Amino acid sequence: MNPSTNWLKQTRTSGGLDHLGSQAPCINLYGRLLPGITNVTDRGRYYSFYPWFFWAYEKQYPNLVWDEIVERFRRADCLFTLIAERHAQKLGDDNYLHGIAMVGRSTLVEPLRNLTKGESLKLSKYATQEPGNTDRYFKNKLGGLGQYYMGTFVELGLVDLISKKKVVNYTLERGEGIASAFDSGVNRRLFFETIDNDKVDHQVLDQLSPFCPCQLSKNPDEHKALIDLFFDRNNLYDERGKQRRLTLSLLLNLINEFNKNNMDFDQFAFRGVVYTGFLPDQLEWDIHESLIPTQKLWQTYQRNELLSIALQGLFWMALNVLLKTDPKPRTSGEFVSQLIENDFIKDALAGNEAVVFEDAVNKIREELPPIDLWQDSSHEIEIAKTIKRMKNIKNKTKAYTETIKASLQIILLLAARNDQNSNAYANLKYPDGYFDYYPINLYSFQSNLYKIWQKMTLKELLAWLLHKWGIEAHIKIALRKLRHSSKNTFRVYPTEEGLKVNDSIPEPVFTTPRFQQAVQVLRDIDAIYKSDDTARFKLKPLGKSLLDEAIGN
Amino acid sequence: MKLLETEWISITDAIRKGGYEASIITTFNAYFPFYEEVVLRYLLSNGCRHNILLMDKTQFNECLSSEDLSPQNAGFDYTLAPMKAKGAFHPKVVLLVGKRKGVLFVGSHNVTLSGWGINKELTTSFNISDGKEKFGISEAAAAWQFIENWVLYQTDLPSSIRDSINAIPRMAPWLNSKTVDNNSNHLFFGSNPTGPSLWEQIKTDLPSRAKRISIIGPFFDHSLDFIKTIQRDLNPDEIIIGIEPDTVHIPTDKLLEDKVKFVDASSITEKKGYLPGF
Repeated sequence: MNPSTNWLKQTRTSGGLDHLGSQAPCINLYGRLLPGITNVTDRGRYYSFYPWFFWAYEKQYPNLVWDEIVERFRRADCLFTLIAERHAQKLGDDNYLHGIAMVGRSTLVEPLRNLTKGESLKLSKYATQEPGNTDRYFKNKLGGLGQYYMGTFVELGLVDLISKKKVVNYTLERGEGIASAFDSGVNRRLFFETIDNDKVDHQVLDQLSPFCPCQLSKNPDEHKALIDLFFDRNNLYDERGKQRRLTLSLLLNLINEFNKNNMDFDQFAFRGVVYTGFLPDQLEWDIHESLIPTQKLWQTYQRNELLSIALQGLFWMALNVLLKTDPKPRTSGEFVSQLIENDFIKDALAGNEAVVFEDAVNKIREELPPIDLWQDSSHEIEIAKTIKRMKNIKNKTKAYTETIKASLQIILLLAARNDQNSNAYANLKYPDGYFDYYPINLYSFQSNLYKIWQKMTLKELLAWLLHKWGIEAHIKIALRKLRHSSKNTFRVYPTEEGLKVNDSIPEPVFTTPRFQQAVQVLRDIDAIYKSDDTARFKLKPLGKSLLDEAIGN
Repeated sequence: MKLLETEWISITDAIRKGGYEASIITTFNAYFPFYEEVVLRYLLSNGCRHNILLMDKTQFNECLSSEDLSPQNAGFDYTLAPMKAKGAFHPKVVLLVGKRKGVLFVGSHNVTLSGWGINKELTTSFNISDGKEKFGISEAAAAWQFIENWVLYQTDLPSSIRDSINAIPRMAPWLNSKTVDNNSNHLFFGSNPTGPSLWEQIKTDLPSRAKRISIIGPFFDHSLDFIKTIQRDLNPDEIIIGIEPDTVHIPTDKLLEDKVKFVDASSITEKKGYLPGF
């Protein structure tokens, strides 16, 4: 139609993540430190089950076309979850060994629970691809593989994705070995008969129980193949495989250390230990020297996390204040110059407005909480946790004051502990221009300490952070996202009526460094277990030997 | 011309189709981070290497007063020409040109984040071909002549900026089509720096009397003179004015005749029918 008069297309709004771009270097870091396991690859046995499906399918039905394979794949994906859930129900066990985090679990658990003896479920009912069908176990055509595991498996060389046709297959180099190992411990014929018959009942699920993830270690070939994969015992994955092995070994070491000292090990404890190099209660960490470089890299990750959470806290506070500001200021600079004069800012700075940053850092250096005292409320590790909780404080002014105090204190502590001569990201190499995309990072932090912030007063520094590393940083990141994905992720944006705030103000969050998934993988391969008496993780003989192997004992 | 097709128009999608060598965009207001980080990047990455932005000079000076709003790459990556005007330099024209093709958008969209993707903005697009088939050329040529008129009016524009603007027809010779004159049958109208107003130009193509006039707008003049002018010139039985009550700038103390009716047009892009004509 020429000409045509129409409304201009509005950009699609999207929640988005990492609104300041301050988390991207953290995500990049943990991705390098634990490659091959991600925040969505929850269970170890999928690393063998999915390649096996395509390998076994080829043997079973060599002539089927892709759409038919997809249909059977979806049934298989459902069946795998149902087997695990049924196994947990039957044994009355801790579900962490069986159905936890299995694909489509939230849809499939209920029908299985309601299934009585003699009744059966139709797999196709849940494997359906019908849009909007509430029984559908997963929207993605290839279920959990397509949604969660594919990228990682392609990277590990377990499956190939022929992208034009969107066809998936196992690889001959690495997928086939793992698939045939899986096959050696399961009843392939019964599995495929079941998906063909499109019917499952208690009896068949029980017969298929060797498929349950808890049975991984009962299948020696598969067990060995997966241990070799995760710990890269055959050095197939070069530096990436080695780094995965080192991080998993670091976790094994920590699990052992915590258990020896009767301490609970969780993600926050992990953060504290790797950042400081000390166990809780200032206890020495018996870490083998071969694991120290990995600990130092995780320390860098945590340092970056602290910087990120401090700035997210300030951003959260600023947007909440802006939301209630009327009329709206025209620019972020204008807004910050108003904001900085608020009484709660004065309260937060507590008479130190005119103190020069450099002097404040020197002073804090004299009173620095010892690095090993990381459970103390004056330590940056603990302060960072409080920023996350500020949203729960009902008195908003108090919440803003406390957030500013906590964020500034973290910045000062990071500055006080900074080693001017060290490389902020150790020896890690980044592509040219990477940090132009993410201007809030440890390099720019280190540089600003000496070049921009040094002679600023604390009030000027706060204004600078709110402006340059707050609203302006967000707008730059959101403009970039708009350019790359055409999505509107703005949480604050300029309009003819001044700066507008999107109602959903992002709360400060930590990144998730694949901790849960790594621990679950160690559990799945039977390297660790949770003891009944203390509910703490302990090493199994395999865990101990893997740790010894990694550190060369 | 059929009004309000159901299809939405995206200027950035048009840029991304590629095939253009130059762009010239006019705007009253601009948010430079948006132009430089998004629009210009789309243009450059799609092969459009000669880019010009014409902007109202008063608005431009306001941008210079804030580091958040100032241009960073003007003069390096693109040409920026602040345009002085007696009232305001207010046209929103996007003209993308290549050797044998082009596209022209004439609408309400400032080069701002909200103007190009958040606000409710209208545009008319003209596809232009100077190939075997020829279409849209007279409108594009009229738009180009309109821009030239404004550039000629700027006595203080540096010659480098003028040269940059004048280079555009070398990339799209069809812009200098001689078919454009005041009486030609093209659909482009713009208010030149001197000469008749937009309304005076359009009025001559309208019937002398209207039954009903539907208007939508976010800004109205202080004494509602324009509505009164429309009333006087077309003497309609009724005027329906669609506004967004939360954002409209309109004097509330000025009386209009009973035949003028205001309606809430907040949902105008989502449903049709309550505002005749839209």
